[in-house]
Formats: sequence, C-alpha cells, structure tokens
Amino acid sequence: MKKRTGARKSFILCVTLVCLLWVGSSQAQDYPKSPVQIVIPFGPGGLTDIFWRSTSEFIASNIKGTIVLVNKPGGGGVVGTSFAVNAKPDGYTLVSANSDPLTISPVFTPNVPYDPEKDVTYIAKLAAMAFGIAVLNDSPFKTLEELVAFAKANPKKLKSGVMGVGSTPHTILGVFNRDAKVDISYVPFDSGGETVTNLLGGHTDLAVVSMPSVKSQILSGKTRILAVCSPKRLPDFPEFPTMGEKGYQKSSIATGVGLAGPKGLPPAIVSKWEEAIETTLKDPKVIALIEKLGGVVVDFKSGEGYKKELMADLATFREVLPTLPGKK
Amino acid sequence: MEVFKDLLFGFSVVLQPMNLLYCFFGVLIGTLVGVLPGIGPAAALSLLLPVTFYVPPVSTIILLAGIMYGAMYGGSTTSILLNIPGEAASVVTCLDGYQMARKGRAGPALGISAFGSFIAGTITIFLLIFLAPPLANFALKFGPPEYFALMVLGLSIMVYLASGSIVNALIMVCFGLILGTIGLDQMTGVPRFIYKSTTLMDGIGLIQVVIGLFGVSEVLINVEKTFKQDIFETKVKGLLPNREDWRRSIGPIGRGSILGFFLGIIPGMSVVIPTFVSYVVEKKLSKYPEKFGTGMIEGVAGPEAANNAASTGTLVPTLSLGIPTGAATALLLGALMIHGLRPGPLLIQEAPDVFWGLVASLYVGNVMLLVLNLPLIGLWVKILKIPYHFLFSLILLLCIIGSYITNNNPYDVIIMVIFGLVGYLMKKFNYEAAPLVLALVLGPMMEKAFRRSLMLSDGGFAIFFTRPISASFLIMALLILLSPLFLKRTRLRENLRAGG
Repeated sequence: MKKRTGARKSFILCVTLVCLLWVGSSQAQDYPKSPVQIVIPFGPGGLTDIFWRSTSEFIASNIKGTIVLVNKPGGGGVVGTSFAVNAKPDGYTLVSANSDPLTISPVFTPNVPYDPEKDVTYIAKLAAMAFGIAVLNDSPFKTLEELVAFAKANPKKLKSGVMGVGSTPHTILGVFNRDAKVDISYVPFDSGGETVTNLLGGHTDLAVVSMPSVKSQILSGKTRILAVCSPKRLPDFPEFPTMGEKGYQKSSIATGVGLAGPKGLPPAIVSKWEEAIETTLKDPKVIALIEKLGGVVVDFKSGEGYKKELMADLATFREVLPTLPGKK
Repeated sequence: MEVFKDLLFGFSVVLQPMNLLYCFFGVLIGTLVGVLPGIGPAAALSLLLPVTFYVPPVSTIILLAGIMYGAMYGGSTTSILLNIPGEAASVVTCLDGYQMARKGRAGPALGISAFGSFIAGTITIFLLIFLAPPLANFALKFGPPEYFALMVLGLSIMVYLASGSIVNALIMVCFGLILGTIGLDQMTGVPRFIYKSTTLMDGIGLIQVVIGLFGVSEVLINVEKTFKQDIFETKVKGLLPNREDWRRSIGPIGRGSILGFFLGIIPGMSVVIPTFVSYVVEKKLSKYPEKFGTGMIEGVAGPEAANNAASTGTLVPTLSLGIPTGAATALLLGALMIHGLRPGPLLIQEAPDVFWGLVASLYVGNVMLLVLNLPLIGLWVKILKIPYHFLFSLILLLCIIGSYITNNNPYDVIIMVIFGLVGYLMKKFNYEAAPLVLALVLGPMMEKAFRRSLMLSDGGFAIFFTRPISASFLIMALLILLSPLFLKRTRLRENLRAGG
C-alpha cells in the first residue's frame, strides 16, 4: 500500500513538472520550445492533408521549430476543429482553419460545439482552393449559358454530383440554383474522387468538384469546366471563365485553408506564425509546389483579414443555407 | 511482344540499387503498418509524403505502393496470433486463422497467408498489365444502382451461408445495419442517434467495433478459463504449410486472387468486401462447410489472397484513369501530381519509367515480402508461448492503442471497450461477429447507394431493373434467397439448418 502511495506522489510530481515546463515555454521569445501540433480536421489523403504535408516543413524551418501534423477527421471537420479550439491556448495546439467547419457547419449542422467568431484565434490564411462546374467532354453543354438555358426549360432534369451535404460544393450549387433561377438536383457523394468517377461513368450530368480532384481528367481531355468558382482565372487553367464573369458572383465560393488556435492565444505567438507563414508563402519553391496541386492558389491574409472574410461568408451562408434543398 | 519489352524495361528501372532500397523500405514499413492495429496504410502514406519530395517520382511511387500492399501481408499476423485484425481487410482471417493458431498451427496459417499473398500478387500483376485499360472503363459503369444491387447480393449470400443458425445471423446483420445508421446522415446532414456527441457524428468506427468484437472479447473469454493455458503451448506442428495444406489452399488462393482483383477495381469497394466474398465462396465450395470457423486453412488462404489482389486491383482505376479508389490511392495520386506527373490515360506514354517501374516493383516487392515474412514466422509463433497473464495485458494494450490511433480520439477507446463486452456476450450466446461486421461495412454504403439511385431517378424504383448490371445482380440475389424453397434438401442446407 505504501509503495502505491509513493508511486502516486511521484506521478503527481511528474505531472506538475510537465505543467511547469509547459507554462514556462509559452513565453513567446523562446517559442516554440517543443514540437507544435497542428490538427488537420480531415483524414489522410484529402486535399487539406496533402496541402499541409507539402508545406509544413517549410513553415517549420521559418518558425525554427518542429511541426507535427495530426489527423483528427470527423463530422466534416468539426471534431478536429473543436478539439483544437478547446485546447490550452499555449501555442502548442493549432488547427488547420478550413472554411467548411468554420462557416458552413455552424449553420448547417446542429450542436457545433464552438462559436467561430468568439472561440477561435485566427492566425493567417494560406491558400484558397477553387471549385469548378465540370461536364463530360462530349456533353451537349459547351458554355454555362447553354446549361442554364436547358436547366430552365427542364427543371429537376439535370443531376449534379456534389461532394457531401453542407459542403462548399453543395452550397455553390444551391446559391447558383437560386441566382440563375434554375432547379438542378443534387446527388451527394463522399469525396471529390467519387463525384468525378460518377461523372465519368455518365451517372450524373454535371459535377461541382474541387479543381485538384478533376485536374487529371481535364488534362486527359475527358472533362471540361464550364466555370470556376474563384475570384480570378486560375493560373494553370486560364481558358476557363470564372463564375463572376458569368454574372454569378455570389456562387463563386472558394474554400480557404488557414491556421488558427484556441481563443486567448498570446498575440506575440500569433504574429510569430503570421510572419513565418508570410515568408514561407513568398518562397518560389513553395509557390511552385502548391500550384502543382492544381487549383490551389496561394492567398496569404493576416489573421484579422481571414477572420473578416470568414465572418462575411458566415453571414451569407446564414441567409442562404436554410433555403437549400435537403435542409428544410 | 511489346508488353514483355516494356515489362523488362520496368525491371531495369526497379532493379537499380536506389529503387530496390526504396522498394524494401516500402514493404518493410507496410508490414509494420499491417501488424499494428489501427494504423492503416493511408496514415503511413500521409506521413511519408513530405519525404518523397526529395526523391525521383519513380522511387516515390515504388515506395508508396510498397506500403499499400505490404500492409496486406502484415495485417494477417495479429489476426492469426491474437485475434486482433491488423487491418479491416484482415477481419475474416481471424475466423479460421486464430482457430488454427489455437490448435498449434499458427505457423502454417502465417505461411499460407504469406504464400497466398505472394501468389495473388503475382497473378494480379499480369491481370493489371493486360486488362487495366478496358477494365477501368468497365468499372465506371458502376453507378449508385449497381452498387446497391451488388451489396444486396453480398448480404444475401452472407446470410445464406452463415455457419450457425440463420436466425442468429439475420439478427446480427440487422444489428450491424442499425449500427450503420448512427451518425450524420450523408444525404441531408441530419444527426441520427448521436446524442450531441461529436465522436458519433461520423458513425461508429469500423476499426473500433472490430477490435472490440474480436480482440477484447477473446481476452474476456479466455480470462474465464485460464487453467487451459496449455493450449498455446502444445507443440507447434511445423512452421510451414505441409503438402496437404497446399493441396487444400491452392484453389482458394487462385479464386481469391481473381475475385479480389476484380472487386478491387470497382472504385469504393475497398479491400474489406473482397475478403468476405472470398471466404463465403470457399465455404460454399468446400465439402465441409460446417467446419469453417474451426481452423480451416482454406478460410485463411482465400481471403488473404483476396486482400492482396484487391490492393493491386485498386491501382487499375488510379493509374489508368487517375481516379482514387480510397484514401491510400488518393495520396498516391497526390504524390504523382506534386512531381508534376499526370496520372491517367496519358501516364504510360508520358512517364513510361514510372508506370512500368511500378508494375515491375509490384513483383519485386512481393518477392521481398515473402523473404521478409517467412523467417519471421518462427519469431511470431514464439509470441504464443508468452504466459497468459503477460500476453493478455499485451493484447489489451494493443487493442487500446489501435482503437485510439485511427482518429486520435480517446472516446473511440470507450466505443471499443463497449464492443468488447458486446462481443463477449455474443460469444456466450453463440452469435457470430462476422455478419455484424459485414453489415456495418455494407449498411451505410448500401443506404447511400439506394438513396443516390432514387435521387438520380427522381424517386422511381425502375432504375434498379432497367440497368442490366444492377438487374442481373438483383435477380441473382432473389434466386439465392428463394432457392431453399425449391431445392431438394441438400447436405449443405441440412448442415445449415442443423446449426453447424
């Protein structure tokens, strides 16, 4: 019995020491003292995962520390995001701040356990990922106008594959349906890959997919993009018009990838990361690497700037999402 | 022939010392990933992705593909020795593999799964070379209605051939289907049975259920009867499969390879389903179906060949169309794209060294895996000689790590423990775990396929019968379910009715 008490005492001592270490290390001048965990709220193999694994090493060398990427998938990104924003604000647990769990889930999914405005410290925006409206190359629709004209004459006739419900592509289709006054039905799939597969098999008429997941099909001449949801034309596909050019500015929604932490993150740590990320994203090697993913564009914004952008999106979605089909 | 010249070129690529080294690392890491429950190949590929920026594209894909099929070799090890599936694809291997180990035949079980994987790997390479482009295009014909019909067929076969009572099997299938409905509904985002828990939003994890049902429940059952410790210590009869084992296994390996490859090609099928199909087929063809589940080597050989073949099959759509079939192949594609290559129909022309190098590396890697795994059998079998009180703690530890590590979520461990208790009760009352697991895998896929089909047809059920592939699957399922009414009392059916 005595032995056990001794063990317990030394355990408590250890825990105390570790905690002291932790407190000591959260001072900004010698931050980061130990590896920083960045939570990726999606599974391995997704675009966010590939993006972070491609760039984290460069960011780590600029912040002079070690980054450990941890996948915590689930609930469309809500599980991982909620884990990280509830962590201790010591700068050792950060999260990939994707727009889906921060702007769409809070509106679409009940019981999201955080408030994207109050519970999150935004550090920076790193990149934006564009989506596109894809059809098969032998599809009768050569332009977005032709698609709209057919959809107007034949409501509910066209089926569009989208990745997930309450996801960016689903929202894009919903806003597009509203603004173009058409009724294109949606069929939700689990991943960008599955959406593309079903488009290629001719099971759906069109698909709203992220550009990276459809890139190799465009290059091999199997699919065509009628419009991309991006503020400007994409550097690697300048031939595709943007939604904005076609007059559907509001459905031009791109997903942002950024970095965030729990609320109360010391400003010194935030600015340290901000600087490191800004330097990294100016490195031509990193830019080239990101552009090879196809459809991902470097889009640096400060934490404040990213927050403003996300909150504006959130306001739009609060107004639009409840009107989408599938969400009554 | 052109193909052989190309293949020879592929070998000249892979046999360069650097590439051989990458191939070796790939299969070694793959084996380790396979042995450790919870870490899947996708997680390992993801971890290694940054490393591949510094090596040429050929070496990258050789390394990453090595992990994928290496994991299929390793996954069977813990299934056979400890009744914990290293990967979801090795669940079926537990059924007979573990029983073989209990009878002192762990060596032959491990041996046949290594040889089976090797033979399957070899056969499928040739299928890959000759059939890849036409097959990939055929696989695209599988839309939601075809998936649904295929899964209905799968479940019908599973129930028909359950080894115990059919009623019990049906109950387990229903239980599995109900468990499969937990989580956020994929079609509308409506939460189902999640009670405000974020962990349950994505449903109950397959890995957690499987580890609990098989690993934990086995420990609980054995704790009850520790006095029987001598079982594992009975003389291990030979480390390699004997002539009789080979005679019985060669058919299952051949069939498992073909089945696994063709099912693996269909995007979204995963490598789990082919193993179940292979097991059921072997049981159906066997003269002693009632003995399945008691340590039949056919039940190890077939599924182990099938999962390896399926992992090669998943490469077909990935390489020839540029379509990922799962998380692991998505990472493979990502790596190729970062190197500036375009996976898809043009890959063979634009980067012949990558394509043929990869194909040749599949063969070289399989040889390496065989050489790597056979000597390990002696070592693995010794694990069984560890005294119970250590071994069981070790198994429980592995179960906890395995269930935590998949999502890094502590609540997953609780789910695993709950299913350990459920599995214990199921064993006590003679309910099989396999139909539950299959239903849990198929249920959500089936529901999604069904609802997607109806969305495509605007609610008309005719879509399942007007499409030829889906119609023929459904008719086959119907015939299987109705056959007991028409067939004479065959021995097989009597065995089924007699419950054993």
